[in-house]
This record gives sequence, structure tokens and C-alpha cells, in this order.
Amino acid sequence: MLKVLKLAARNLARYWRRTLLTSGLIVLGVVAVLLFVAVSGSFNALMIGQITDSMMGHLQVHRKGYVASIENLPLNLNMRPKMVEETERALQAMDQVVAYSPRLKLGAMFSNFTETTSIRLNGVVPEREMAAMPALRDRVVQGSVDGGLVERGKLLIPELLARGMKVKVGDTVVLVATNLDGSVNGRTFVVQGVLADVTGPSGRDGYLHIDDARQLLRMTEAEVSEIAVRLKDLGGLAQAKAQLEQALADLRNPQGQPALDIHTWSQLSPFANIARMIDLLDLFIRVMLVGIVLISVMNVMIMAVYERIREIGTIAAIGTPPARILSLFVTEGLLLALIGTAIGMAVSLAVVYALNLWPVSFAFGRQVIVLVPSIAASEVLLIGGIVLVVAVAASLQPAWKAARMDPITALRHV
Amino acid sequence: MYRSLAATGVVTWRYKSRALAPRHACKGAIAARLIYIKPRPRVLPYSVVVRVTILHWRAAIMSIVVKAEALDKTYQAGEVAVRAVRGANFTIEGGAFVAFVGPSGSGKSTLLNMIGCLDHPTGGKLSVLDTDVTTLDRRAAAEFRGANLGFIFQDFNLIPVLSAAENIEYPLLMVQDWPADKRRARVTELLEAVGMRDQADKRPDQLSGGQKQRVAVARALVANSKLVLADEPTANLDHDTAYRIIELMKKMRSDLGTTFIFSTHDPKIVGEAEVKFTLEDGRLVNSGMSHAQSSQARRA
Repeated sequence: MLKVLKLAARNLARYWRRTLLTSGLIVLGVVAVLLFVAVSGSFNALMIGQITDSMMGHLQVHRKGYVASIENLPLNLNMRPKMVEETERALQAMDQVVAYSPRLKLGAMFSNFTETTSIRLNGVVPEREMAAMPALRDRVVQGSVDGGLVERGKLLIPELLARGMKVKVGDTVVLVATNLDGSVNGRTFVVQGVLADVTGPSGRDGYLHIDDARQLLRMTEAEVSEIAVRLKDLGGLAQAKAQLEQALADLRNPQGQPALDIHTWSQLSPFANIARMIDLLDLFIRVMLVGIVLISVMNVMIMAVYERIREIGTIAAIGTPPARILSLFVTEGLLLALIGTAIGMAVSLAVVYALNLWPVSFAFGRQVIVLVPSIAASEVLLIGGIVLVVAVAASLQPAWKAARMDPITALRHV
Repeated sequence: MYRSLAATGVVTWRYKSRALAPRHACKGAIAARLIYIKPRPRVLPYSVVVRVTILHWRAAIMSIVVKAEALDKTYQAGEVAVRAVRGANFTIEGGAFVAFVGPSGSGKSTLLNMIGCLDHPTGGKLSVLDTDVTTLDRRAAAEFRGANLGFIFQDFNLIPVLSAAENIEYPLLMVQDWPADKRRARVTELLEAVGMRDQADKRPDQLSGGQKQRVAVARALVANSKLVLADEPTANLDHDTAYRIIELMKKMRSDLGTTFIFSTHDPKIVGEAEVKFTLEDGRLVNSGMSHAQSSQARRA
């Protein structure tokens, strides 16, 4: 094998300009794919992390039908205390669950005594919400959560609302909410902090203490609208969902259907579709890389065979087995791809490293996202493997042609 | 002692019994060796060894290397069927220095290609080194060439990315898989034999035509080929160089006992052949000892 490799390397060096150009093309392809995978992967991870760690959690449990009407925040579809109790018991029994946070969601009128607007609010148990949403603290752009995420009688309000209503931390505001029986109730609150908006549902929701929410709604029982669950590992999402569904299967509504629905973050967030589109783009750019390698290597190898017909005739005449001629040309293609892949990988990893040293930030909607790309070693190896396999496949046809060449015809070739 | 006997062929039967002989070894030659060697006693007196050695050498030399019977080759050139070789009958003995001569298009190269298992006859029989080469498929033909035949081309056909030494080494490395130390020794031996030791590291584009053809001769002989085929080996060389190449080929024939068959239409070179076959329009019109051989025979 070593002798074939040596001869192949010399043949590539013989046509060094062509080798350089083709390798350059492969380098370009590999760099484009690796950088795209690194950047898009980091963007995905960043967005998913933000969504799951500061708003939605990885899983959410609702009463059946609640999600379908979630825009209306229907109080009549809240989880009853028994359901909450059963769910908490099931969650506590699951190893994968790190934390969970029961929430009471409500819509209310928000007034600063001069203007009024609507607001969506989450009534939460501060400690449990902080445990389940570790990145929520980072969204607080004004005020402090050192004394707890949200204290009794206080509110965290979204930035857009604070700016629109010209409300600052420490201001008193009024919340008026419609109760389950249709009556309204109002209460004053002090603004404890302002939250940065994030993309997706609940990204512009305010927060208050769950007991304040129940008082505002004149709720007599400990009902909750949803339970957000944080898992140890996002990879175990499907398994955890299945396990929870099984554990809660006995809770049935009067129609005999499961009383609770369990949704993953991707079933609830529109960003999942963006993530899927990014995955599609990722696939597309990989297909392009395959195309680049396939066409460029095949082109070079076809040229190599046509230019060396007499040489092929000579080595065939002196008894070189057809399989060895085939391996010689396949090795040339493989070596070409190997050079391109190695340089491409080195360049890509250097750029990724540089982007980590000097991060680039850009606006995604109203959010400013700081890109810190990273790429898994398995991903790098996979892409390298794809390039090499495609290069071998591209070399096979010209190599086969060389191996099958009639020595006399080849020797007569001018 | 064993080595010297082996070198002379006295103990050649051991090669046969241990299956160490090349795969396509000339069966005729081995049979001839056995005829002379089998009756020998376990311990031979020196005079008998010498006698047996001489008998064996003569048997090996006189064995038939190529035998053609009613050999035909017709190929299609567009709509026209061209009969390049017409009913050729000839035999070539081991150790001969043979020339196929004739004008361009007379069928010399076609004949050489068929002997070299590069082309198949369309009719007749052709036996090379006691192997019916008409039945060999593509892979078997390549194997046969690699094991038994050497080729010298008109355009030298050296591999441009390899040095002179590496070009000579190529058949040992890529065709026969010799171990590295034996390869190196053999290449050095051949480089010296063809007078190219000083040019060993030069690439073909750094060598003159004559030097390239010397390297080609060495490459043809490096794997102990029994038969070397040279298609117009001197056509691209000036007369002096051509003469020297022919002399080199003759010397190698004498040193190694290899059979050389070459084609040429150069009348000055034709005279150097010991056996000459003349072709006209695909027919063998004349065969026999050349002028040089006749003179040599007369002198003897």
C-alpha cells in the first residue's frame, strides 16, 4: 500500500497546479461546511438554550386542551390540585428531572395610572422557577432578583412594556384581572425588575408570585396552568416524555382520555421550525460539498487518466495487475481529498478558535446574539469521512477505466 | 557448492519439487533439465557434474520459447477487415537473438504484441514458454507478462515521476512484490550491467535517448524475464546509440541467457540479429540465420 501511496503522491506532485486547484476547491467546501455547521449549531444551541433555560423548560405538562387555547389563557382549563399532586409525584420519581416549576398563567390589564394596556403574566414559586429556569436571572436588565426572583406584591415586567408605558423599577402599577366567574379584581403592585424580551411564546410575559396571582384571580384552590420541567440532558427528551406519559396515564378525564398533555419545548416553540430549517440548510450545504468533491475529484481523475494513457499502457504491458492500476488511481483521488480535507479542517478549526477569541455579535429580531461557534469532534470527523468516501467514489470510474484499458490501444495513443 | 550447482542448473529439479520455480516457468526447459539430471547418482564425480551442466545448458538454450502454427490476426479498421498476420509458422529457441524485419505495416508489431500476450490471435496456435497464450484472459495475461516477459518500447516509455533506479525497480515493486533488500541489490546489479549506475537518481527527462533505452533494457530484464520483446527499440535513436543498445541487448542475452525478440526496419540493425524473420503484408517470407550469425558460424 505504501508503494502505491508514494507513487500516487508523486503523480499528484507532477501536476501540482491542478492538484493545488482541486485541493483548494475541497478546502473551500470543507471550510464552508464546517463553519456553517459550527455557526448554525452554536446559534441553534444558543437559541434553544435561551428558550428552554429562561422560559419554557424542556417539557411542559398541561391539562388536556389547554395548549390549543393557550392564547386565551383559559382559567377553566387549569390543572386541578389532584392532577398537580400526581404530576409532582411522577416528576419526583424521575431521575432525569432536575427541577420543575408550577405556573399559573393569566391575562390582566396593566395600568400606570395614566395609561392602560394588556399583559400576560406567570404566577410562579420564585425558588422553583429559578431552579427550573436558570437563565431567567440573566434576563433581568433592570432591578434586582437577589432577594428572590419575585417578591410578594411585586412584579417583573417585560422590557417592551416598561418602555412603552414609561414604567421604571420601584413604580407602582395596577393589575386588573378577570376571574373564573367573570368578575374582575384589581390590585396594586410594585415593579421589582424589567426583563429582556426573548423570541418565542412567553418571551414577553411578566412574572409575579403564584400566591399573588391566586389572590388576584380570587382562586380558592391551588390550581396551576402548567408545570415546566427541566431535564438533566436535552438528549433524553423523548425518553423522559414517554416515561412521564406512562406515569400519568392513569389520570383520565370524564371522556376516558388522558387528562394531561405533555409537550416538548419544540412542540410549543415556533423556533423549532427555524431550527429545522437550519438543519435543512445544513443538509443542503453538505450535499453541495459532496457535489464539489465529486465533480472536482472526478474531473481531475478523468484528466489524469486521459493524459497518462501511454503510461497506463506501459505499466499494464509490463504486467501490473489491473487491481493495482485501479488502486493507484483511487489512491490519487483519496490523497487529493485527504490533502483538501486536512487543510480545510485546520483552517475551519482556526477560524472557529478565532471566533471564540473575538466573538461576533449580531441582531436577531430585537435580540443581540453573541456568536461563540463550536463544533463537535464527531462532526468534524463525519464531514472528513464524507469527503474521503465521496473522493474514492469519484475516483472509481476513471480508475476502473484505467484498469480496464487495452494495453495496445493505450501504447498507441498519441 | 549448492549455489554453484543451482546456478548451473544441476539442482534445478529442487526448484521444481519445492514449487519455487516461477509460476509460468518454461515447462519445456524444466523437462529438458529433468531428462539430463534424473539419472544422476546421489554423489557425482566432478567430471559428470561438468558434463551434466553442459548438457543442461544446451538443453535450456535449445528449448522452444515461442512456437506459432498458422498464426492469423485480422482486425477491423472501420468497415475494412485488415489481415495483419497471415498463417505465420515459426519457432524461436531459448537464448536466441531474433529480429522480425519488414516495412511499416508488414505485421511486425502485431506479431510481437501477440507473443507478448498483449493481443490475441484470431486464428492458429501460439505457444510462449510452453503456455498456450491464446487461452489467457486479461488478468492471466497480465500475470504471465509480469512473471515471464520484459518489454522495451520504441519511445522508451519510462514512468516520468520515477528516477532511473525506481523505473528499473518498478516491476519488482508493483508487479512481483520482491522484498526491499533483494530489490535494491537487483536494481544495483542491473544499473551496473547497463552502465547507468551514475545516473540512478535522474528522472527520465534528465536522461538522453540512449540512457533512457538503457534504463528500459534494465527494466525489461530486472525480474529475470525469460523473454524480452522490443518493438523498434532503436527507432528513436541515432545510429551509434542504436548500435550500442543492440550490443547491450546482446551482452545481456549472453550474460543472462534471456531470449531477445525485436522488430526493426533499420537495415543496419537487422544485421546484428542472429535469427531473422522477414515479414511482408503479414506473411513470413524468409527466416534463417542473419549475416552476422553466418559469419560467426563460419569463423567457428
